[in-house]
Amino acid sequence: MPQRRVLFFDNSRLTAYRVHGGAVLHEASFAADEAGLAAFGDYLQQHRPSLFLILADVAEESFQTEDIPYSTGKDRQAILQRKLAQHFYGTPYALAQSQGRLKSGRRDERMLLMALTQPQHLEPWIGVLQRNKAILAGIHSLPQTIAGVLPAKPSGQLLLLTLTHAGLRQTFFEDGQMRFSRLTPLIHDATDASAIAAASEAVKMHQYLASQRLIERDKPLVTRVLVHPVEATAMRAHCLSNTSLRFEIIDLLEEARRVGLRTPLVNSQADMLFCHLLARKAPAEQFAQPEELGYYRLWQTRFGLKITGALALASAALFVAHQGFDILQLQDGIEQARQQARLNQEQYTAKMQALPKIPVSPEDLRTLIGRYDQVKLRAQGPAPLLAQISRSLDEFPLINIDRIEWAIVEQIIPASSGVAGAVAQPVPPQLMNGPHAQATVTARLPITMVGDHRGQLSMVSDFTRHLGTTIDTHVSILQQPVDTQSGKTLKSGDEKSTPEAPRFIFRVTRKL
Amino acid sequence: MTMENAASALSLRNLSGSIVLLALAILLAAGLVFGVLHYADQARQSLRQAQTQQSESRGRLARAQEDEQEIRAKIDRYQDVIARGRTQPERRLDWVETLRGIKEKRRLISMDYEIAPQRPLDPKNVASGGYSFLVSPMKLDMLLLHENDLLGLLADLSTQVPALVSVRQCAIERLPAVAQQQAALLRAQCELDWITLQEKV
Repeated sequence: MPQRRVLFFDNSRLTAYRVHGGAVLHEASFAADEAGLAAFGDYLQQHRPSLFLILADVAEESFQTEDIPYSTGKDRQAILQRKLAQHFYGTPYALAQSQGRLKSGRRDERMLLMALTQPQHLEPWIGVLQRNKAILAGIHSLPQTIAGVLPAKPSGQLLLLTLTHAGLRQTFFEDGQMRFSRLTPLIHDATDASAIAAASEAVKMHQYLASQRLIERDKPLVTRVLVHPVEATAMRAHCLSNTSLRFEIIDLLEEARRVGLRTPLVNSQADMLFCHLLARKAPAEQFAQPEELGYYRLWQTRFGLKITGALALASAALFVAHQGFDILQLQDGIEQARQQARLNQEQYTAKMQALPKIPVSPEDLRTLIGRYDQVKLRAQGPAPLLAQISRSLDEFPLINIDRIEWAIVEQIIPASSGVAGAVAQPVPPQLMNGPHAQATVTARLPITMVGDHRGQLSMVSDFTRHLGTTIDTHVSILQQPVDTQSGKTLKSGDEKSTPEAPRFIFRVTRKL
Repeated sequence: MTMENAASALSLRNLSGSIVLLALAILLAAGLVFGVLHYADQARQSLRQAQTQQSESRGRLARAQEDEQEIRAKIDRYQDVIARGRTQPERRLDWVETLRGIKEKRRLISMDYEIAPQRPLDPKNVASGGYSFLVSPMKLDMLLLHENDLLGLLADLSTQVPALVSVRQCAIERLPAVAQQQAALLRAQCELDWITLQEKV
């Protein structure tokens, strides 16, 4: 954060204070002449990065109270500009401060209009600030800060007397809202002079307020005088309460402590206190023109960009930290899982190493024996299937075999209806996948059955049924001894020709 | 002139440094975020892999008892394969002599054979546990008195040669009566594979 400096301006001089953490440090004073302005320029060059606030404590000021119809936005802005122009013609340093809405009638908004009526006193200093590209953050008048020394919840009417290097200021408050303020320059700095002036100016102020019908004449006005303890006795001696005024002498040092000022004040001139109040919480309303705040707007924008960048980096750093914590936990989990996997593997390896030693790894052994079993399964030869056929032939001794074609097949091919006399039979699901031993057999029935077609079909059917009773065996007839299908020609036997034994072909498949 | 300078202070030119800084900060922040997200993603992936490994190793350990029995059985099988001489190089001369011996012993009428060059049994992409299965195809043409002559021959071959003898196909047919002058009743034509194993180098 940049350093903040308050330039306390009165008609005789400009005093620079550095304000930091409740402490107010006097740095320099500059007379309102050529030499003073030049010295002020040098001072600004030394403290260019600082933010400067001007606190004007001048007698040439004006206050007006106006009730305006409640409005917002551009309408409100236009009304206020018109009012300010009406009241403060000739000065750019004018502002309007809202004091809330009235509780009766059409509930107008009460505005306190204030202005620094002699801008030519301030302009040389502003010029030096601009020439040196100093960051002017605002121009305020002292009455804007003075409410900081009021009690927490002030009510009723109150006249507050304060002293600064510029003189005696009398500020009138009503229910905590400033209504009017006036600065009386003091010729002498002597304590008695201040006390006498306080007593007399309070009376004048009472008369003025009464003439303006801001107070009632017969009701004593509470008048608080903010004074250093060493000067309190003199102040009490001169400020005597009467039917119009009821004086209260307030300890300046105690008030300063209450509002957080850490720099001790040496007398009743409370310049440092008001600088502290301004730096602590500068009022939103201020006198500077937009063009005078150019460097401040530039600083604000730069500051905003830097803050945005810093926030982005900080957010990223937080995110990275959060993710980093997660990653640490993940890595811990990874290490534990790997450790456990290593232990499991070691235990497994120990078990496997206890096995008889062979030059083949367990995985290769599994693969090798698996493949060997597949090969060996197909190496059973024709004996089992031929033995099965032989057993059925023993039951049907009239059937003779002419030819057997045996092979290893991977899949059963259903008997095709295209084959003469073939009977398509569905393949059981458990026999869908091979390997299978398969024999295609050409057989012969006894010649005595030549004319007995029904007997031929019956014998073939019985034979194949017997053959198929063995588990995991599928039998299909590829060719019947006699073709009885409707689409085929059926002939009688020719007694002149040589009779031939009826032939049929079947296929038997057995799962290996 | 001075006021104009102050009024125009808020310009892009005066802000360029701060804008560059902001851009750098945002880039750096984005880099940090993406970097850490990438790293976290990798860590999560590594954790998944490690957990998978842990799960697999735990499962393998749990199955170790079962595996142990299975591997012991397979070791016995392996040792049996070695003992049978299946991994020996093919010895065609021994095979031929064995065939001749069986023919004489079983008094076979006729036996013609043809052994083709040796070749791998499997395509290259079939895993076979560090060994290659080699096959020497043989065609066999025999005249038989009885089908048991064929079955006996095949049984003798299986027991007398170290190689694994696998019959691929066989056709057995009854000979017509005119061809029975030599007392042969059947003719068998078979295709066999002599299978040996060779350790891969």
